[in-house]
Amino acid sequence: MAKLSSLSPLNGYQESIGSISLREINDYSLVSLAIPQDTTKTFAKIIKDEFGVGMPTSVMSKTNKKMRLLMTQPDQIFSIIPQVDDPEKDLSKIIGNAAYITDQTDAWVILEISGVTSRTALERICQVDLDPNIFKLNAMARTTMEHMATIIIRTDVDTFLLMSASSSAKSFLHAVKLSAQHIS
Amino acid sequence: MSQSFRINGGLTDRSKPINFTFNNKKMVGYEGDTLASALLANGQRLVGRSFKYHRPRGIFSAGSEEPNALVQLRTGAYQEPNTRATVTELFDGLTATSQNHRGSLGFDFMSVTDLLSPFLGAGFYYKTFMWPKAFWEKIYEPIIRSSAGLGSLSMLEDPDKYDKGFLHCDLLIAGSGPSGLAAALAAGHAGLRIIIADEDYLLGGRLLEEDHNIEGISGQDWVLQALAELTEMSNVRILPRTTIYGAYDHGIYGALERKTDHLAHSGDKPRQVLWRIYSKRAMICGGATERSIAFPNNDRPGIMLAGAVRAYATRYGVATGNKVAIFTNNDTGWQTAVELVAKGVNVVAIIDPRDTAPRAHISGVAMIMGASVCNTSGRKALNRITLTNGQTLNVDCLAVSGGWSPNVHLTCHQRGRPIWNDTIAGFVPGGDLPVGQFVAGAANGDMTLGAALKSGHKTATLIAKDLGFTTNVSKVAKADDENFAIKQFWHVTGYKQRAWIDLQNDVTTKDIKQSQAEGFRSVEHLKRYTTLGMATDQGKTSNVLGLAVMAEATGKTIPETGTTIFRPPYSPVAIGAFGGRERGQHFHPTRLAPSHKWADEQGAEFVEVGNWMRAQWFPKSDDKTWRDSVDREVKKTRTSVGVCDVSTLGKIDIKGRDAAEFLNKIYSNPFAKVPVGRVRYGLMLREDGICYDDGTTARLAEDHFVMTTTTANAVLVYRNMEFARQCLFPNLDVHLISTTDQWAQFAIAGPNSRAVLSKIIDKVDMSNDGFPFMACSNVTVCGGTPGRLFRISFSGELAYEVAVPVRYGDALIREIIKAGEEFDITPYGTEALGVMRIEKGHVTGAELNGQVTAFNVNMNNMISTKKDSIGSVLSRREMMIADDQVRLVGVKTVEISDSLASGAHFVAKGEKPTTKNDQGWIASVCYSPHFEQHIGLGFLERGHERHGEIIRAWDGVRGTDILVEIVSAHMYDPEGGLQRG
Repeated sequence: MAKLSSLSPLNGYQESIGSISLREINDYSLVSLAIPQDTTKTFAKIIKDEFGVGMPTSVMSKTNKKMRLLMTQPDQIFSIIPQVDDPEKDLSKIIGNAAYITDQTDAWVILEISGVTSRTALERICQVDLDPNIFKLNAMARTTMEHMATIIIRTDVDTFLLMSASSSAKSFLHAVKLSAQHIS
Repeated sequence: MSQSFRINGGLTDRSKPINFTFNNKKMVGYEGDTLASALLANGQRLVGRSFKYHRPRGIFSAGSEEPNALVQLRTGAYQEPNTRATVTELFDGLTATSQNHRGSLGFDFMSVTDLLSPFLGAGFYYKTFMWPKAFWEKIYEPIIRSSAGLGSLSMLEDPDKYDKGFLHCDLLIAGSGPSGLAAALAAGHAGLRIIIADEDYLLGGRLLEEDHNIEGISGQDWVLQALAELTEMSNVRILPRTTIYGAYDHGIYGALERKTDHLAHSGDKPRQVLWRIYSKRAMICGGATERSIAFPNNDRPGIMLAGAVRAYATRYGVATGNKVAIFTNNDTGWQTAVELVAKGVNVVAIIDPRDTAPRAHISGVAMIMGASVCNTSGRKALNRITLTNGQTLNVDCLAVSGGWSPNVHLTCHQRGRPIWNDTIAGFVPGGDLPVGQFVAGAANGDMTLGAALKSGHKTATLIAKDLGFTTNVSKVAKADDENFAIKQFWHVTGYKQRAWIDLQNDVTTKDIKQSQAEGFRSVEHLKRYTTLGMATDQGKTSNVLGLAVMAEATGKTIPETGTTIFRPPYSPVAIGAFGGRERGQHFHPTRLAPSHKWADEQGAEFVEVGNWMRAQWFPKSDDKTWRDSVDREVKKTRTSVGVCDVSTLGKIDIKGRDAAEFLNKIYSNPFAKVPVGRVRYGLMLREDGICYDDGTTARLAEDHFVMTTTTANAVLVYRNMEFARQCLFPNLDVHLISTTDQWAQFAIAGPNSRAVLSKIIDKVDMSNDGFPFMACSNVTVCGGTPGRLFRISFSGELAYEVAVPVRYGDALIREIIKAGEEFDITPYGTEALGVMRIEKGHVTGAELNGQVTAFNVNMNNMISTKKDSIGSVLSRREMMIADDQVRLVGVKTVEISDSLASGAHFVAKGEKPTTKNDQGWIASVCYSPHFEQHIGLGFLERGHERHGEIIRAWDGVRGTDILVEIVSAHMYDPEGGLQRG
């Protein structure tokens, strides 16, 4: 039996639309880290000691070269790390019982939008105020775009990561792409 | 037609001529013209017919308040009716046609209705067409509708694109006249993030339309200077061509930006964008709208608002007549006269009903005080006016000013009620403004230039201070306060000819008085009875005039009479703009199953299930109908093996020390002792004891369960469980996460399913002992890909579900098909899935429809009495478990050739199909290729005791009445031997 080949939600899509660059990010693993009751301090220490990353807040992600952490709800953190075969297994070796780990890599599609007019494009679908003085570097928000649940993260002045459900990835891409095309 | 009415000056670019047509007549205007200014420049005075009496009408105003000059723009599918010529920017190739006439604009056959006007007063259709009753809907109303009305739709799909968006600011400024610009400068310098929006394509408001001096320079130069300053500020966003049309909760304002309406083609870009603006504070600087005076025959083309006449001369370089008279009750009419004369317009007279000395000395102009206009003549355009002193004047334009009404609309959108200001003779904003909203300038009753600049600056400064910004960085621009004295003079009385109040709806002073005489005393009733203030202009020029006349008729003051208030939108918004980009297949997002690409390659027919696109069946070339495909898929699965993508079912990973205890509370049946490696079917109840979802939950580890929900209820179940976790049982250590999109899951069913899967699954003992019915396990597939395996069956066959991360879903379905080739494996869709579950008696949403209990579906024993769970107490209410309740049954037609329909009612033989005799209903039906007849599942009173009974299935909607046999719901393999392997 042949080994199964993998296919990302948008098959590695990338395109330039005017001054905007839009691409699917698919070289990562994403896991949910649910923190057991009364274990937050232990978890925070492990994350700091092992990965050098502090605890994120609901509006600000924390990141370094090893991982990006997003707080998605009070006791749940998403961790984006370089792609590995079995992220649950790899992370559980380090985190142990300090978190319930669930692979979410395939549940999400991640689009990166960048370019000087990226904010102008996002104005059409994003309810979040993306002014750089308000939504600062590494800021994150859970929101909706065109009725699709979305996590938005600022990774540079004019660069954002947009995370949405993988099953509706094509609709999501359409929404973002159309916003870039509609700039006028 | 030459531009014989052009005069020197104005802001149009004479070096850029623009060609356009009106009623197929070729004309030329200039860049910077509106359609109205270009028509006037070309001497086109008659532009439309009135709504009710088809009276000739001309351009009345120079802004969005226009009641008369409504035209159809563009052609074909792009045609747009009821467009105001006064706000339509001229572009090369523009085509406009007049509307609301039969025959030509000049010879409208429907103008006969004007002769019948004595019979067509306010509310005539409520009284005149009452008999015979049946005629109203079929004859009278269609005739009235076709003879009245405005433009017509193309009846083609709108080819334009629209979009929506979201903007944020500290301060939104609606309007860019003197107060708006002064506010923007103050707030901009203070550092606030501001948005200043104006419906006009040029910012400046009336500073563009009147000659003023500010800080020693002309008002127009001051505007340019202010805009240059604002443009340099990175904290300022300027939105021309943008109407703030609504004020909503929490500082949110609706705005419509017209992106390409001024262009011949939109270039594949959105024509309009509907913005939702989130503001911390908002300033309404919308200015004021001039109103008319009601006098006999005051509706002829050539009779215009004085401010508009001034605007056409000053901004557009157009004289609105060769002989202009001005009829005014206030000082702005005199300023208009001065300005017109200065620009070389021939002003023959100024008529003022005030018994005072002339308000200015204007050389060469007859100044007639204490008189009014009491009649006009000119069939298609004004040619003469008659005054109350008996004098007649030959004029082709009469500029009328009855005073100015502050634009308070946005202050009313949350039920704010304006208050009367006697000094300016207008309503000003009341105290109950929307939270965070302020008003400045003429909109607030500051009617003079100096006052408007001051109030704009002062209000913005206060806002800046309130928001914590430094506020001493700018000074208010200084200008003189022009005279603004007014006499409350509303209409000329004592003449029998009609005097129009509302030009758009043909409402006259007589209609107002008649309405009052017939008992409509409230202004709200007046509006609805007479149609005063309705349609595209929403009474911007007529409301105050109408209620002033009503006040007079009732002997009350205007404050006692009150006013109607306003709701969004301030001016018309195309329905397409509200729809935005969400059209056609993009009306809502689409979710695709992991095997979608493969299924599409197989030619699958898809069906929308919620947002999911699911394969409904897989046609083959031999299949003549969809039923052939479905029957084949069912037979093949039951006799060999079939595969179905079931990834759309909700999947929730439940982890934590207390996960089992949590599930014990969520499900009505016990879950605490489910062993690791086993799956259990579970039933969920609402708090009121009604069933709302079912599914299987597998225990993969002591602290790890995987729940499946129905596709439709995936979100609802997750939400309810989160609520239970966070609010009902916060002490439990349990965590939830949706994994619906993480896992691709395939059901493989049929006697050969084990053989097929044995080729796919790595190193698992697939025997009945090694992996029995309701077993589950983490596995690897195809040589190492992580997966999950469940031995569960929805079809009633020996069946499994295998899951892999979604990225491998496409590859896995191809491998399964390859592995099943030797067994002639068939993919099956939702139809075959439905047939097999009905044969087997498994319930879905059709049965669990929000009104049935566990008792109804014969699962009463699944409500454990040994533990508490959500809904269990209320499920035991006496009436919910009474013996005569409906129970789930199977149904088969007595005649093999009969077919069933869901929704049919059970009625005993020989009884009438009445509510009293209704014994239950059929919930799901299908043709069963196994039983070779139609079968179904339904609910029948005491159904569990009535197997074998013959009863009627009566369907009043489809007109069928057939005999059916009541059987057990478990029609296929009732002992379950097949699924147990």
